[in-house]
Amino acid sequence: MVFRSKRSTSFVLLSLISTTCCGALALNPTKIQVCQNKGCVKSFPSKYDGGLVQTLKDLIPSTGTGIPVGENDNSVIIEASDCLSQCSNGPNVCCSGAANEERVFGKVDGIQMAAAVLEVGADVDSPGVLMAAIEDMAMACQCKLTCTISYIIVTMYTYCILNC
Amino acid sequence: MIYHLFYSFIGILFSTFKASNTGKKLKLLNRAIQSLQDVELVQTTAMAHALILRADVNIDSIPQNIEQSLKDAMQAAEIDDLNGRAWRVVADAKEANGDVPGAIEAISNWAMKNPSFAGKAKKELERLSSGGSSI
Repeated sequence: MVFRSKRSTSFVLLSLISTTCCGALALNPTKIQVCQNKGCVKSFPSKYDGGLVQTLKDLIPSTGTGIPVGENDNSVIIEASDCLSQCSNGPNVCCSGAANEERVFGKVDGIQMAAAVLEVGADVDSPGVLMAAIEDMAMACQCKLTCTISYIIVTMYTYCILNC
Repeated sequence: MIYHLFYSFIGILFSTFKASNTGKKLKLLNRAIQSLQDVELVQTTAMAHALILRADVNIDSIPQNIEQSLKDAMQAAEIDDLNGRAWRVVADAKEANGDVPGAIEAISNWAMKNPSFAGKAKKELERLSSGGSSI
């Protein structure tokens, strides 16, 4: 009987601790800051509409930012930031977790790297289907660029021929 | 005369380019949206983003597909408006559909969601209120 009551007390205590911890985690979501310095922005492929900030948001399998994602029910906030002072290593992304530790990831120059940063820095697993869909979107955006560039080249070439 | 012909030729060439590219873009975006629907990732930012891109393409295409564009943009706004970007597309679609009051409302939503575009929104509202052209 005594053993039972001790066990139930410890169970209640454990429950209380876990609830408090979960509350703390929810209050301190993982914050991902994306460097918006000129060099970092230029280093990220322009085919991804909205740049690295939008790509990271797209890679999260939930709605918008600040909504619970990931295995530990953490939340992730993705935001643009000033220079992270590691310009030679750009594009840079800084992840700060619940324990306030900061990790800066460099060379985040593609969708694979962005997904890896989310997995390591925020414990968010991006499904392959999501990555494939983002690649399709990037290709669709690239069509626009190709069309404009082709148009300019053809116009200039024909103009030169006519003038000569 | 020759320059007139030249510019007509370029215009036709551009339209052809645009048409083929629109087809390609739609195909890719349809594939992206379909794949997200298949695995029940409908409530994701990526889905909203893809819908906004498709709505944009449908407005730019020749002929325009305003109905589909409006449907996509509204659905995107419900999921995640990407800082009001969905409302910007809704405004374009409604304006193309001749619904100026609806476009004004959508522009107001855009400005509310993204205050950094307040200046642009104000100009757009002035243009729409005066019944000006889109250029």
